[in-house]
Amino acid sequence: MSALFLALRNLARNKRRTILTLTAITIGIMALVLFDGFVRYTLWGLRESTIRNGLGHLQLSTAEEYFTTGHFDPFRYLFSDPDRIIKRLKALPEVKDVVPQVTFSATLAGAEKSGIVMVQAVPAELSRTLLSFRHIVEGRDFTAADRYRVILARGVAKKIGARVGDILTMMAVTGSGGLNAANLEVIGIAAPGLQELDNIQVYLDLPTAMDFLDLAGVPLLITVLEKTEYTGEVLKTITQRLKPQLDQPLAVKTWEELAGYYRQVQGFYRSLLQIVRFIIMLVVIFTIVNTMTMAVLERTQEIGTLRTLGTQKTGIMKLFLAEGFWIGAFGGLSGLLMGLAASCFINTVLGGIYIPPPPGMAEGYQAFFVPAFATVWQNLLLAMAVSVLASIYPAWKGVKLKIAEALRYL
Amino acid sequence: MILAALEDVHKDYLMAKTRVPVLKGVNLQLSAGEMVCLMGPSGSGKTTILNILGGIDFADRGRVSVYNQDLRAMDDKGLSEFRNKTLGFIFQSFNLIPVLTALENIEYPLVLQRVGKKERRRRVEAMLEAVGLSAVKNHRPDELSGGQQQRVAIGRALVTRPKLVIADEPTGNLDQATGKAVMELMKEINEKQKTTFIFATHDPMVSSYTSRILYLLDGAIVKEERL
Repeated sequence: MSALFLALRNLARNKRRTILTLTAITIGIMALVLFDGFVRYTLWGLRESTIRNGLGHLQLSTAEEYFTTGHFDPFRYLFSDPDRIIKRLKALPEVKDVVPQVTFSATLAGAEKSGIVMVQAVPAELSRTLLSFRHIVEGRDFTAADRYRVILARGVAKKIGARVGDILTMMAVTGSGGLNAANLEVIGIAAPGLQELDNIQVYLDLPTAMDFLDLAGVPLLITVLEKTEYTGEVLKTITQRLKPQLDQPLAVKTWEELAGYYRQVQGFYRSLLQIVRFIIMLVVIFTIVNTMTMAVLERTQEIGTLRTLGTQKTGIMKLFLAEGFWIGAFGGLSGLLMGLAASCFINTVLGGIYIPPPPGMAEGYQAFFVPAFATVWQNLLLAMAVSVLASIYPAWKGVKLKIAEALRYL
Repeated sequence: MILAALEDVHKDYLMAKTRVPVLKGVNLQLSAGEMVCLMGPSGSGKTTILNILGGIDFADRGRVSVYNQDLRAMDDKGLSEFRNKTLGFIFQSFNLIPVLTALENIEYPLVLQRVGKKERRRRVEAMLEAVGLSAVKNHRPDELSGGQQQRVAIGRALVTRPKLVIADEPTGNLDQATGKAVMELMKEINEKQKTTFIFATHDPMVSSYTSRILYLLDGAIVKEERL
């Protein structure tokens, strides 16, 4: 006849109050599971769109400075033998493709307006690998035969008033230090998904960019992996095995190091999740304190009887903490199951929920709820821990009762 | 043999900032195996004496000794163990644990003593038999009559084989016939097991089963009657 056994029986005494308390915890934990699932999916979406909008999983250059100032002077950082590195990297089973890329800033002028743009140039046949989250909304994508043609991000097209079929003039500094200009035909308008790219990005095919800039090589190799989870493993292989065998310096950056915006958003959502968790736990605490205080009050005479029979103060404390434990366990478990069921319902029956563009995103998206196994259990443990902690004060009130007075209590 | 003694025991209660004396120098000795009754009007100090003897309230002055133990010198843990092992309590309103069955209520003090499950069940079954409740052992208190509930309480008080049973108005919530049956049961246990009983009551029927009656008035024993 342990405290847990007695506590379980006591829960069934005031069924309505127990059900109300369990409902409050269930709703709280369900909300946490859903919110966690939403945040996880949103961050996953942002991560993948960041990676597959041209960032790739790993970026390789010839010097660390390239990643900070290289866009303004890419000519100083060219690989002497990029094909050898590409071949070695592609031999790794985790690597999906290696995309040589040139990025540079340029001025793009339309019939009436002009603006500064960031040019991303990759081989046409590899653009779908690297830019799989880029969505052509008007016109078409590059073919291998396209030269001196351009695809504009939707925001850029809007800014300079360009449409598919227009001829624009691009001006940029070449490898020899001179200024070059060329006419480019707009063949497509794209939606990169990320707001920060939408207003500045334009796309060229790599041979055109190299010809336009008078480049003999590429300054950047972007590695796209089969799965984002392989990033650490491949980074280790490159730095430990590939790097020492090269006759040229090699600087490697992971997508996490390069995606500053993603890190900010991740930090924001994590803070938001903690705040929501804190608020829900406060509600749980107040609900439990109220329930347990009522229980102690109602059972004052019984506490007196138990103490008279020889139950020690710790026994009374254990009894009420055990009740808190059960309330947390049942409420947490039912909240967890309800949360998982609701996630399943939203994902499969409703096909997700449409979310308008969040800060930094150019478009809204269909949100799914994919709670992580670990955080689901964390929420359950949290509910149990908070319930037990919230029971301490009411239990302490029960412990402090004077036996003779408790026995007289009606 | 003296089982319990109160020597010049004083007790005041604080009521709205005023100290009200409840016991004014009470002297009392209980011999092993006797049945003693405290009688007196409400507020005369009967329950306070029982509480002090039971270690659930404390005298302001005077000496309290039960089974050679000075109760005022014991800490809470020691007192809890002492109550569990040495004393049995019977209350007017039965004070059973509502979520436990008759069997579990009787078993509870043995659980606190950490008696093994087999031995516990053997003693509880024997006690259920003794108080005539074997047929309703799995009933909860709200499924039992007042008389049956008080029998469970008696079983719970006696299952640990206490030296002293403290009974506060044990027939107060029972009709005359049931009250008599309950007293018969306690008398029988007293005679068979030589368990010492002390009662507080207004009921002359209860006192008729005891060997000594102590009359209280305004916190003092004013008369003693041996039967």
